[in-house]
Amino acid sequence: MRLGWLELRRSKKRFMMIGGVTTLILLLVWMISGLADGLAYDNGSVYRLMPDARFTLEADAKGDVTRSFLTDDAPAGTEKLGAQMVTLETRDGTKTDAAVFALAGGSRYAPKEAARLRKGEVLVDTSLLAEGGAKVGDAVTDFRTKQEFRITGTTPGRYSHAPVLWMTWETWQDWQETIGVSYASAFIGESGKYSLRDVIESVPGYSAEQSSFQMMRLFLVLIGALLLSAFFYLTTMEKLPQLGILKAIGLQNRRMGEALLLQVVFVAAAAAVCSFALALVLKNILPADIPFRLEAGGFLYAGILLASALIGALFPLRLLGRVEPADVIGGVRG
Amino acid sequence: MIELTDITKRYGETEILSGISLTAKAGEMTALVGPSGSGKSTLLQVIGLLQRQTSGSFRIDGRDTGDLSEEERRKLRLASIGFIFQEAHLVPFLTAKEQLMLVEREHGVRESRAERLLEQFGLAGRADHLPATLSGGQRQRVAIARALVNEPRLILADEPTASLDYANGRSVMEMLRSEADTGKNVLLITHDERMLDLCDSVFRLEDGRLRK
Repeated sequence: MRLGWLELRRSKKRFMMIGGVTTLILLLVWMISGLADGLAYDNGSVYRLMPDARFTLEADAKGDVTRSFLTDDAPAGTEKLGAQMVTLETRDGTKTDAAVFALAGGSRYAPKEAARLRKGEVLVDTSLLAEGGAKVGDAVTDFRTKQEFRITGTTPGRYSHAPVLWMTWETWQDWQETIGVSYASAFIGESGKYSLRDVIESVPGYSAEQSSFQMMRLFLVLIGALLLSAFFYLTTMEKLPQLGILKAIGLQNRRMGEALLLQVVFVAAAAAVCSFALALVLKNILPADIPFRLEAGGFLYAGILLASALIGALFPLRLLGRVEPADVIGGVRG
Repeated sequence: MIELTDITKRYGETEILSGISLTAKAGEMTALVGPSGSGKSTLLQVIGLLQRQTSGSFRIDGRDTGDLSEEERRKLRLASIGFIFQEAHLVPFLTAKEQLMLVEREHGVRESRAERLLEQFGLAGRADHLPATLSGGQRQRVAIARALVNEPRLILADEPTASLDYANGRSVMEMLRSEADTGKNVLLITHDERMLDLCDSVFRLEDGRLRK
């Protein structure tokens, strides 16, 4: 072990270079994972913020609540959920897309803040204020029906990359009556065909977007794993002649293996910490409109890469038993 | 004392050493000379337990090495044999003193004689230097000190002066001579005939066969 530490301390440049390359590859994984997870969250955060629930939708809605129209009464144990995409117009004439979600006042599936909403009042995601140029206290108008809603507060939630606007079921009904319809988009409760995951995956564009990112992530992890294992393999192979000399002198293979293991684990751990710290810094400096989230999945991918680096480095160690000191000493077989 | 009896070494169909018989006593400095490719290094490596002979018997102080396991050979190398290579082959990230202490630690030595040995080899002021900051001659002297730190009975040197100028080379050879004079068995390969006057006996290898 001491031998490993000494080399780490005295060959800083070499190990910093190895660690630097590892850090950059890991950072790339964090970045792609962060963007994929950020977009995934952004696409359906209105659902992700709900307690666990099941949904009943119109048969041909394919899991998308905004395509579902139910006119029956809600079955026992469920309640009506309204959901619709709208184009809103703010006071200064700015148009912005939003998703309206409605539940009965005090519903356990609605945000806590929605319990205080009165007729005509809405809560909006803060991104609507930023994108639409509105502020709390302003009124926003549905561009199609000219129905006005007063913003009384904010609550996080996005659907299909659009800000969510929460209203009570009473407000929803009023609004629907202006165009002569009365329906619920879904029945939400403890029973129903669709789970939260199902409806998240049915958000328009979600699956296509995530499939693309998943492919990118898969290839990145594959290429990164190959690259790192090859890189660490070569750095170990480069040391075999030196290990051959030590073996000739009489040092035990185990001692040399331990030194190498210590170095690989140290470099890999340092690279993991540095890359994660850099990813955190990036998360904080990225503009708010670029969704970025560091979630547990990223650790799995980073773990796969580090494991491949370890395997790459330690794989040649089995050669250590077969290293012929004679092959690395000058003038052999002469 | 080392005794080789009818040692043969083959790589596939090629016979590198043929019927080598040689005895070298403690306190003697023996030189192996011969053209390149004659089998000198292979013979040295067989004696140094780095390679196994194909046939024949090899004894160190009466102990037959033929039946030793790899681990027993390693321990014997560590305890009884000091290697000096053509190049110093020092560990690049260890200071001169640490090069010696590495071998001592492996041997379980409690009281280090590294500093004393370096001083003896004129390297007292270089004990904390890394190999990259030492001259070629100094590096080779560290390598010799490393080979001697465990007080081996047998010292094997494969062209120890090849990378040095005459003055440094002579100085290295004189150090080996003085080690032989303390009762150690020194066996070396050299191409430099100017150094042979320091040796007690000289063997010539040609096409894997020994001629005295």
